[in-house]
Amino acid sequence: MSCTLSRQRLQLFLEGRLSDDASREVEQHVQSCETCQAVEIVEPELRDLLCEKLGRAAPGAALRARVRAIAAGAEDPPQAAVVDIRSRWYRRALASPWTPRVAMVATLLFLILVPFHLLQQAPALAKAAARRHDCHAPTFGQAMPPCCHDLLLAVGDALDAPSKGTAVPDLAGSGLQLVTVTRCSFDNVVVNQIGYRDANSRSFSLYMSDQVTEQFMLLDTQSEDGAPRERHRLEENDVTIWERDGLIYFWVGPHASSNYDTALAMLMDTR
Amino acid sequence: MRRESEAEKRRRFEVEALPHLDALYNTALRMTQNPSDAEDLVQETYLKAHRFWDRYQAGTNCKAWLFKILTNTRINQYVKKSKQPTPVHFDDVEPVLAQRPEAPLDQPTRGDMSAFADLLHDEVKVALEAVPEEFRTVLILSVIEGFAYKEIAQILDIPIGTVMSRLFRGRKLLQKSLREFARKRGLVKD
Repeated sequence: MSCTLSRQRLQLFLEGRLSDDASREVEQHVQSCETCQAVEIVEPELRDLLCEKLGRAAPGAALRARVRAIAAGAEDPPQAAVVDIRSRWYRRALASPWTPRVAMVATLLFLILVPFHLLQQAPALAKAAARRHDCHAPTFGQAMPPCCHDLLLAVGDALDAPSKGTAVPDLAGSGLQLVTVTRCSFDNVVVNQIGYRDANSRSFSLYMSDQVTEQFMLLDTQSEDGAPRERHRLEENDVTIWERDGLIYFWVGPHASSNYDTALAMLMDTR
Repeated sequence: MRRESEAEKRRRFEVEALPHLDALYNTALRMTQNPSDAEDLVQETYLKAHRFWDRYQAGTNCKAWLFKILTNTRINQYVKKSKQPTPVHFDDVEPVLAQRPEAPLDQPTRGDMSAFADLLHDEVKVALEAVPEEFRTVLILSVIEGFAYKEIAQILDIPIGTVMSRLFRGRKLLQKSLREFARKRGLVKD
């Protein structure tokens, strides 16, 4: 593979001396250039010196014992907030690698076949959120589609961009258990996606992002308790959208579910 | 495809995850600079790894997967304790970068290297600890643990170019710190 980036330009990039646009170009190039990825930034002599002088610290016997105990607990693993769906009949269907594709096709068919006037009432933001939910909910807790990056987070853990400063909400009080936390770039809009399930295995999604604030501001939102929000029904799902502290929140779940409303109230109260 | 039994899962966890305990602890210690915090961090990492073991794909890079959990857990500890690492801006690093621009990619000179070799183990350790964690983590993953830039990018969930620039700046800060120790000891001239 031939590299078209000069060493001088790479040096300027590493030093942070390029403009934002130029840096972005170099960043994109480096992402796929094996030649640039092979450039030695720390020379071997310095690597050897650090390895020799720093040595390797070994963990104590107590930590080794604790870690072995964790491994030994594998037959009765801590369930934490992950819903156990292993014994259910549909597990095999959910585990299938075809499921995301089937869900995608089903969603497209749904969008084509559903009466247009039903969708017309909802803004693009709500439709996009419902589409994202329909495509992802069947895979919650399983291998996620390529647009998703599994963040391996639990309830209370902090989230990074695009909703930096927020944490994974605990909705156990509304009967919902956390299933998955991913960063999702579906339809080229990046959101932090948090998936929950209720006792009847119905899926709920919370999306948080700072990317669509302007679109939200253009909506003619109703104001309740001083918080601008919109709620729409899209076939089987309800979608509520609101803004807080520069972030847009989407709450998607089954229509006419009491869990939906209880959880929504908890989310609205979360500060 | 045959479903893996719980006993098989447990065996696979022991065979694939446990051998990385030393590397995880070593890195955790360099991150936290405290043996007790390092032990807590590693224990938390293994608890999460065990909880999410179903999501680990057999045959992929288990060490990188564990390090991803370790670094995520470390970041979350910061946030929970409201003890965020001080973000380091380029302007703070720039005066260091302005020094010695002559060598390709500005690597240490032979004179520097021979002076650094005479430094004590503790001096090198303190010099590394002086590097802000954002850069130190990348240095440790690259230099001590030998991860490729691409792997570090996956572990820290940042672009490869960002890994390289953090490594570059981290190395510059480390060099500066090592040079100061060498100067104090009279191993290099001002």
